[in-house]
Amino acid sequence: MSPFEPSAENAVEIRGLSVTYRGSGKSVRAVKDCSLRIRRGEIIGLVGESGSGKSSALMAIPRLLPAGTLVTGQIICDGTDIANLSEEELNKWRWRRIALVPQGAMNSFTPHLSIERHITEVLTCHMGMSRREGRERAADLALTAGLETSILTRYPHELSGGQKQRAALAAAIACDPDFLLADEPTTALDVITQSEVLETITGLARRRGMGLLLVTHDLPLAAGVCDRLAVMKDGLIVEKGLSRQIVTEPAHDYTKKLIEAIRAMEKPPEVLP
Amino acid sequence: MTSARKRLFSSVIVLAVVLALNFLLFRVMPGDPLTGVVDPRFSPEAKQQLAAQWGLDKPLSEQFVVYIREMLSFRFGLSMMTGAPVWDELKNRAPNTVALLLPALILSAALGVWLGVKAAQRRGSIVERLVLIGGAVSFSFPSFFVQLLLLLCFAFAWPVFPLSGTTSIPPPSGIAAFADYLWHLALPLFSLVVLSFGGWALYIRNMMVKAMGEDYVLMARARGLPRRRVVWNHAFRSILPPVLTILLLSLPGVVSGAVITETVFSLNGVGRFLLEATNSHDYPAAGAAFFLLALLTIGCNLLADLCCALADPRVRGEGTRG
Repeated sequence: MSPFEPSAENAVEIRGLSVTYRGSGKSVRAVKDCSLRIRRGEIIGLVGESGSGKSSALMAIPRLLPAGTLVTGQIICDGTDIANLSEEELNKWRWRRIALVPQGAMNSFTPHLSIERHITEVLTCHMGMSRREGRERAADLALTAGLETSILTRYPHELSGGQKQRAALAAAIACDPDFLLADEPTTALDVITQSEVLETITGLARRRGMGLLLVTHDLPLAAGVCDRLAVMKDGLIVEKGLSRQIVTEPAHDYTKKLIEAIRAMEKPPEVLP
Repeated sequence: MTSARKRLFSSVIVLAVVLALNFLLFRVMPGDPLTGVVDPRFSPEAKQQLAAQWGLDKPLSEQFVVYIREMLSFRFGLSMMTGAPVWDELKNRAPNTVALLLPALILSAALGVWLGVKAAQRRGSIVERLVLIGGAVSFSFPSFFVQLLLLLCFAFAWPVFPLSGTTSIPPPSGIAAFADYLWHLALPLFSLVVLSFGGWALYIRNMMVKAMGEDYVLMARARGLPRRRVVWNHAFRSILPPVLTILLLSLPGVVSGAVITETVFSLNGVGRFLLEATNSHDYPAAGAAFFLLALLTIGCNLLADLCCALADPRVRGEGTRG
């Protein structure tokens, strides 16, 4: 059975997911009947150009799309359809089981709370830890995410982009979730920091046996770190399979064009006469 | 020069300007204490004697020096209207004003904040519509009109509250005196809360709508935090600096606004004293009242800066960078 077919425990499955943004008199269907499965210990890349619907698909999993958005389909996590849970029930799954590393962590931290407070807050809320225990665990998490413990007492505006992204990762793994959703986690970072942060995220996912859904527009980057890829275009998953297979033998015209475009960009520039 | 020193320095400049204007404006206004305070039947000699007693016969520059000395030493001199020390007059009236305005400010802000947050949480619902309409109505009605209407309904047509004053005649004693005092303040207090909560509700709703759409609030939800925590600890807490600033800066305005409330309900407060002192050109009393109001404004402004710095680490950072 293909790993993208529905069923199986230890996995988050998206079944027939559709997302429609409703505006005043105008609706946009951003995701159309998508199905995907993310198993624990596996890294899946969801790639596509900007506006293809990949972030909408990702944000639909923890139900974080704007109010009024029409979402249909099922989100099955370990046999439970979390799409139909109440907000209160869903909060038990959020972060504890499914955590998120946001796109551009710049604005994802509440400005008046220190980094430590962001981490201890989830630990006291979900793990029942005391503030003191939370602080000790926060220090461990900071080190795990490649940060110095001194940044914990700092506020978001005092951190660089790379530090913030690592802090977002430290917060995301605080409750040892089963699944990590990373939405363009390295956008807005310089190339070196991008590669370091991505290495930390994928390394942690592998070591901890988490399922990772990595959303990115960067196909070579995704192909380099993901076990499997799903390619999205205009809200549809047009192709999915093993990363190597997608890159070497793309089946869909859109994937072929994407790969050709990347190869063209990688060619050395012609020397002018 | 650090930010705090700059603020302190500018506050001193503002206070100096207010002091100078306080002196000049009262003296360029039409009329003077001899026509405003003194009985018109007094003989010219008696009036001259009073003018000498109040120091009005001295040159303006000399009067200015005396005025500045009295203001800065907080002595304020004697009221021309009552002949009693201005301090005593203010001290006698201040408890009534504070007992009315402080609860009114706290209650209206608390009610407005609560309604504003609920409206922002339930966008597009009947709750939001009711808050928007109620807020706009509360915000737009002139205070004296609402207060007179309340007096007409609840003190005249259906007399459950007294028409005027702060105590019944004859005044009761013991615990009954306190209950009587609260009974007299109830209607003015209610009127102030009804008139002020709307502004707060509309303001808080607008700020909360923006805050609830911020990425960090979405992330707080993504972290599975309870809704109450997301709303109050993340969204509301992030708008706290402007809320504190408005709360503190509205305090002097509320004191000035007491003029109308205390006049309509015939309450013996600082606001009414301020109005009477201004109308009768009682220079020491009006000067002292406006000077204290300016001090209150400047003090609240500085306190607002301090509270903002405490509530928002980004503001603290700016302060240390000077």
